[in-house]
Amino acid sequence: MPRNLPADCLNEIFEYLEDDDLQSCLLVSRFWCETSVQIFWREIQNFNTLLICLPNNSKTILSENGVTISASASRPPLFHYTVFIKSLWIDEICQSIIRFILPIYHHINMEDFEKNQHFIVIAREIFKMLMNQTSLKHLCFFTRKNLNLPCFNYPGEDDCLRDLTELKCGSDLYPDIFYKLSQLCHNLRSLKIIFGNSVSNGLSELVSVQKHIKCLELNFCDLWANKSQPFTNFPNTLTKLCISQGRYRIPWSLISKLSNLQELSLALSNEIGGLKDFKKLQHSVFPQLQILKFESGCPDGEYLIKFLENNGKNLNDLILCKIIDGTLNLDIGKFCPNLRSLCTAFPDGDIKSLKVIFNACQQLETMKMIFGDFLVNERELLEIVVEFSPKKFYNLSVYLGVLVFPETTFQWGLRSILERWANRKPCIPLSLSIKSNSKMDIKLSKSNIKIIEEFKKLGAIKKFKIKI
Amino acid sequence: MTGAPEQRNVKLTSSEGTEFKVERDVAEKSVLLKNMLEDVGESDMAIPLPNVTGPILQKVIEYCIHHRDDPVPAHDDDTKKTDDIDDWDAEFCKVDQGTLYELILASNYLDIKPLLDLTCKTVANMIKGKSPEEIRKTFNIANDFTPEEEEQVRRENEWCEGR
Repeated sequence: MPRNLPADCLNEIFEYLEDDDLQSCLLVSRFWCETSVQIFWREIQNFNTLLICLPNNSKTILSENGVTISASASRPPLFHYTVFIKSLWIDEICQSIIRFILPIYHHINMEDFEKNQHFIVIAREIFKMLMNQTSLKHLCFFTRKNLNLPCFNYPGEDDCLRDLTELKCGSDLYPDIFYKLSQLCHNLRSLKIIFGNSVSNGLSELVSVQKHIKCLELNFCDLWANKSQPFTNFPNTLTKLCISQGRYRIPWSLISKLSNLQELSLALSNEIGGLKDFKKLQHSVFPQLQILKFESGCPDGEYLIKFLENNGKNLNDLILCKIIDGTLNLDIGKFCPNLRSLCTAFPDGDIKSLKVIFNACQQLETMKMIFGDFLVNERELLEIVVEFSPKKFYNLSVYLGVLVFPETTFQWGLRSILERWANRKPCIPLSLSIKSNSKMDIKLSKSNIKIIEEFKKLGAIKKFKIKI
Repeated sequence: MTGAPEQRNVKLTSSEGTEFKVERDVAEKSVLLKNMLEDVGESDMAIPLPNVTGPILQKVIEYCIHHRDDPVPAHDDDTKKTDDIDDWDAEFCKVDQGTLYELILASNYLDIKPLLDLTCKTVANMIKGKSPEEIRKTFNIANDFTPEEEEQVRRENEWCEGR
């Protein structure tokens, strides 16, 4: 019989489990329960249980407001669950109060609760306990329209918020909240802001007081271009910046000062001229930049090339989902010789540039190719991969438009091509996936499936998936 | 500088007194040994590891040799995935449960984070998708809850609509 693992090892194991498996672990034995409950309850798992944990005077206040905590609560809770909580989602707590405790109000909008006495009294007791007894790592708070909810200003909240590392919030929280957070939380590692149509005072300060922040994510979705720029500076500790443009202006001049940036991800929108606007960043230099992503909309070619000329040298990972001019691919290799992973489009279906990319990027391991609605000769494609891809290359994903392959696709024996792959030295097992939206029904023939299985056994193929 | 660094051997003694010789860079996969070696400097003395048996130490060394050239893992990686075990590692973990437990204890004691991660992931994968009763059976654990306690754990941790 194996000897028992001590709690710290058991804890390491439980870190890998999702909530439903942790829930099973709770019921295994007392020892497993005591260890897993601390991970399981990093988030509020059961609102009733949370209410049982309220101090007696709070329970009295609740019952005076017509809230009876369920009968089973006559016994004290098995654990003091509140102290395990590391992650709060304020909006969800407010919703839970309405749904569980005040169901008669369930049809009323969130905004009206700001003035609902029942809600205020109950929310106050719950947040008082949470602020007093927890030490949070993650906080999520989106409630819009400057609602003044009673979630802050309780004893103990300094300790509760001091070690906050991750905050996700709306731009239009009640301003006092931003001032409070600016005072207490200087150690955020990650901040994500979803913009409503207004920006509360204090948000800019919250960003600028951060001393160790690494990751900033701005989603300007609902902010109109005529609103003034909410930020005066970004902390220079930032290594990762993600901006989704929506209808707003990108703060180019603030970005260009971020000399420690390792990852830049921009979702540009043509609607507001974002693709041309990239001109303002083309001459900026980011010596640490390793990851560059344009998930939607790609800057105008001339500016992009200039930017890559300045910053391509250290790039490991480049994503260009929507380039319009396929000849850009010829320049990628020239300026980004150290890419390990590349996603780019071949808008005219011309795959000759693939050869050029392979030759120039000798570190390349992974490639995603996005095609427009052009016929692609899959045989020629595989020939190029087998013949010209660099030594470490092993992973190819192909995304096709509507017209995709000719109907004769894969009606030829894969054997000779796969043999050539298997003969590469060293041979890293190839992963290939081809996906498309088209309705054409292209299936691999039985003989090809057999060939693939054979090469899988040989260790030359890891994955060969075609979903068309 | 005195030219190319010389690869010196390090001697380790298991709990039964068996001596193992490993190259220094292999031993240094263990943070505990790395710190010890830095503290003592050059020495031919064997380092006693009273908490690790010979067969387990043998396995640990096998792991460290295979992974000797791996880069030091990044620390601020929050994502805890269990489906990223490569074939060699998976094969390495095909051992009886007692051995797997001993490997966890040894890697925890020797402070070899990648081996601790690997063995913990392997156990986590054995837990996944199982009911409490199935977990007890798999790991040979006795249910020491009273029926009332078990019911209370269940009630306080069940998910209700919207949690």
